[in-house]
Amino acid sequence: MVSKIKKKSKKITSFISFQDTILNLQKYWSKKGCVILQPYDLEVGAGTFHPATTLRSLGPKPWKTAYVQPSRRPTDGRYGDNPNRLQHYYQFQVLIKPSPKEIKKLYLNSLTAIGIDHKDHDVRFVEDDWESPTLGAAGLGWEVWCDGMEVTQFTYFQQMAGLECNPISVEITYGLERLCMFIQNKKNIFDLAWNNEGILYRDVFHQSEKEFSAYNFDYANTENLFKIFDMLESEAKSLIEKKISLPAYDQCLKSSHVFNLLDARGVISVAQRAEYIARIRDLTKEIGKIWIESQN
Amino acid sequence: MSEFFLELFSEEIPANLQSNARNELKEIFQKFLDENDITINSKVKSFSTPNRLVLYIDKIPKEIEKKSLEIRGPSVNSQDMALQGFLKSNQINKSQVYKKTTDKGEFFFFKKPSVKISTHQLFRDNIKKLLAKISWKKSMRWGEHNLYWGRPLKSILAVFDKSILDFNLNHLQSSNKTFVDKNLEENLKKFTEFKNYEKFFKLNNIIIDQELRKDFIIKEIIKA
Repeated sequence: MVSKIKKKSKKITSFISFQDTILNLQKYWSKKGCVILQPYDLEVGAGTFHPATTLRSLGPKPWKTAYVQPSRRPTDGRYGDNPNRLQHYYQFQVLIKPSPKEIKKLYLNSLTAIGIDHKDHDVRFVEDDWESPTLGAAGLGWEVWCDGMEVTQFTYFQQMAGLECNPISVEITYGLERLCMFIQNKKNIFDLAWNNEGILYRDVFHQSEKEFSAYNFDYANTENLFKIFDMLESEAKSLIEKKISLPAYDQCLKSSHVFNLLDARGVISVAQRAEYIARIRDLTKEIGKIWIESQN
Repeated sequence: MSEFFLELFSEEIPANLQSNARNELKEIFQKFLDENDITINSKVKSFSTPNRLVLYIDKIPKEIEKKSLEIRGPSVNSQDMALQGFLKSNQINKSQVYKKTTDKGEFFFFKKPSVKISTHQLFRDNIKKLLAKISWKKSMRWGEHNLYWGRPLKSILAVFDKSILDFNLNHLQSSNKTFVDKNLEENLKKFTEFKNYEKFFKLNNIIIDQELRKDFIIKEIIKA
């Protein structure tokens, strides 16, 4: 007979600080053969925008990487007042091409490395197909829930920069703050223990959240930002003509962030929004083509 | 009488894709049975869990008789090349054809004799084509494979009359084993009969039949 559903308790092997969570994930994925990269040194909205994911997921060459990526989403800022929302947060990103057969096992064991044994928790793979209009990208996959909380995005890329992926990469993105709130059983991001010496997330980032929210929503000079967007787009186009993909992609990332700032300032209409996204996507597509040519 | 059961084990398939695939799988195999005049004294059944798409057909006759069939060939007035092509495609010689007048004129005919075909053979010859008929609303590729499926397909268990129904689907080879641990995709276990498969998973807290699973959940919710 089917036994009764077991009531599972939140069992965390040991307390793990924010910085140790990152270190443990880096160690784990390093042992699995991933190139451990450092964050990309430009403002991006997610780990996916790092060229180590966007561009490296294109073309035939195998690739394995893992890195932390500070991610900026200006519209998500709340002046440091909201316990769950930030305009600057961290993602831990893993990209493996081609996606290995045992990827689910690798992922579940990575949770064990940060104190979450999947046997003690209700881990679910819930449908969450992904699309990025600015990257011209799409993938199929899941958001992974641990005892009802979303802790990871798990995606098989099917398309990137408007091009079909072949072979297929798998992307695993851990939302580090949310994951640590689960591990440390905290209700407020700012209460997370950054290390084991009493330093909290608040001590590191609260002022930054307040000030950047003010910049993003109130003070960013929109007249200049519109000009900067045009300049970046023009620079990207010129570099595309010269067929140098990586510097062209940098211009594209910068223009994407400028667009996000304009969006946060509320100066972009619905029609303009679609037009700006299309302009960024067009750049990404051209860059993707140049990148692939360079890979063959 | 024979039993056929199939388990397509994959990473978690979303609920709506799962129910479509489950229904289609049943319809595709029912149509295949009908088209081949295979009468079973039971119903084609299909089941699913997020990881397991299962088909079960019981009481299949071991062989079927394909009735004698009169096949029309080219017109007697057509060039010899047409007749040669007809002979070749039916793997026969000229002595086996005869002339017959119809409303549309005189034609060559061939009477295909009735034959006995093993259903095992018929299933093996058609299963790949049948599985390719599942029309996923959304499908994907993974790794370096060219197969499209709802989510990555990891193993195929196919048993006909307690033996493996041997075939390959792209990079996957059928077997009589499946993963017991759906998360780590470990602990392969062999099955030769559906009743043992169903019983084993029930003992391991997995109800294969979605309707029974639904009833169980509702009962537990009411109790709670």
